[in-house]
Formats: sequence, structure tokens, C-alpha cells
Amino acid sequence: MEIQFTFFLGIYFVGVLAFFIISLMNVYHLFKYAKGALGGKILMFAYFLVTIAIMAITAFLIKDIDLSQKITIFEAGNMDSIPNPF
Amino acid sequence: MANLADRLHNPRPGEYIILYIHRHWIILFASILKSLSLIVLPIIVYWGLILQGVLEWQGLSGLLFILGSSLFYLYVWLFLFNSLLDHYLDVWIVTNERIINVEQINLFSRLISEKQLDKMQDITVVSKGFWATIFNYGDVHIQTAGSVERFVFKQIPNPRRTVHAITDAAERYRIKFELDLDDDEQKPEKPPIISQNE
Repeated sequence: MEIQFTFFLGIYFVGVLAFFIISLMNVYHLFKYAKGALGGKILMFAYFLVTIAIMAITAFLIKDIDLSQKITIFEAGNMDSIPNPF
Repeated sequence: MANLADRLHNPRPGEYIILYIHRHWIILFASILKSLSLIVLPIIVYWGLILQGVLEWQGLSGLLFILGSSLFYLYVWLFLFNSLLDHYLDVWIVTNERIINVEQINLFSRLISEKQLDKMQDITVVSKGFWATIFNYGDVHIQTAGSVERFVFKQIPNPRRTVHAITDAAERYRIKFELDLDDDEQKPEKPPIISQNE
């Protein structure tokens, strides 16, 4: 059984998606309740800036990795690595 | 004097803000320090993996390390941002008529309560611990006429000065309230309004 590297990238994007849903809730709260909102605007700007910066650094670091590579967990026809339950 | 309409959703005519209090900055500073200490964790793991000779930048270990660290940093940043949000949105407002408690309990729950100044019964200051004494912060508990203690000003700077300002404002409000009542008693009673349809 082989897993392509893009699978791990998929897991990463699920994590990032969850992160963004929670972030949007954050920002919604800030918009809804913070009055006199200069501080709120600065906070939101900083929030998006840092989030995008982290993702940009991630993209920069993985750009040289060949994502079409595969990792083999079990070789075809060889089940030795699965523990025998009996 | 702060403009009430900029700070509150339901300002009343003639009302003005006496105190607008956030938590002490040292509480936010402690959260920032916690987050900063978490930032070094992937760096320590990186050096550990390098020393073990198992980290290969072009391989699976490199990819997993980068993606894992990225997710870790995103969630640390979210934690830090929540602390900033908590500091920014937790606010206690004392006006010349009432006290308002606005508290962000967690991301999805929020508590807003308010009480007229004349409904206050007693005020207690609790300043516990070394840091609270050094940085002069503490909790102010305000007992209201209801059975449940609704107002706790948490970790606010200079709690004794705050108590002084609240009791002063409450006293002024009571005097104003009594004067208004006296004025009403002296006024001639208005005839009852009778509907045109009756």
C-alpha cells in the first residue's frame, strides 16, 4: 500500500480549514461586540497578517519537496508487517 | 470624557462614562509569554531530529515536520489571538447611572449584565498573591440587591481606586434619585389620561 505525499498536504488543509472556521468566529465576535473599534481593526489586521505569513512560509518551505513521491506502508502481496491476531 | 455612544450599544440620555476598565496588562503579558514559550517547541524538536539524523528535508520527515509545525504555529497564534480578544472584549463600565459587565467567557459565549447604581449593596476588593500585590491588581466583587452576585470586576488595575469611584458615583446617583423623587412629590398631580374612544 502506498500513500502519496499530497495526502499529508490534504490533512494539512483540513486542519487549516478548521482553523479558518474558528478564526472567522473570532473575527465575527470582534465585529459584533467591539465598539470604538480602532483596536479591533488593528487586532484583525494583525490576525490576518500573521495567519497569511505562517501559511506563506509553509508554502515557501515545501516548494522544493516533490509531492508526487510515495511512501510504501505495505509491499504488494506481503502482509508480514500486519501482526497476526491468532 | 469618553463618548458613550462609541462604547455602548444602548446609551441613555444624560449618561456619561466614569470608568472604562479592562483587565490588568500583566494578565495579557502572561498569556503572551505562554505563547512565546510554545513557539520554541518545534525548534527544539527540529534540533532533536537533526541530532538524531532522521530529518530529511526533501523526504517525508521534512514534509511532515513543516506541515506539523505550520499547524502548530497557527493554533498557537489562535490561542494568543483569543487571549488578545479576551483582554479587548472583557470590559467593565461604570457610568453615572449604572455598572455594566461585558465578559467574553469563551469564543462562543458572552455575558453582558448591567445594574443601576442604587441597587448595589456592598463592594469587596480581593487582591491575592505576590504578582497581584506587586502590580496592584485584583478582583472587585459587587453584591447587588438580587440573590446572585452578578458583578465581579476580574483582575482589574488599581481596584481600591475603582471601588472609591464606584461608591462615589453610587452616592451621587442616590442623591440625584432622591432629589428627583422630591421634585415629583412637589409637582401637582396630573389628571388621568382618558382615551378619546371611551
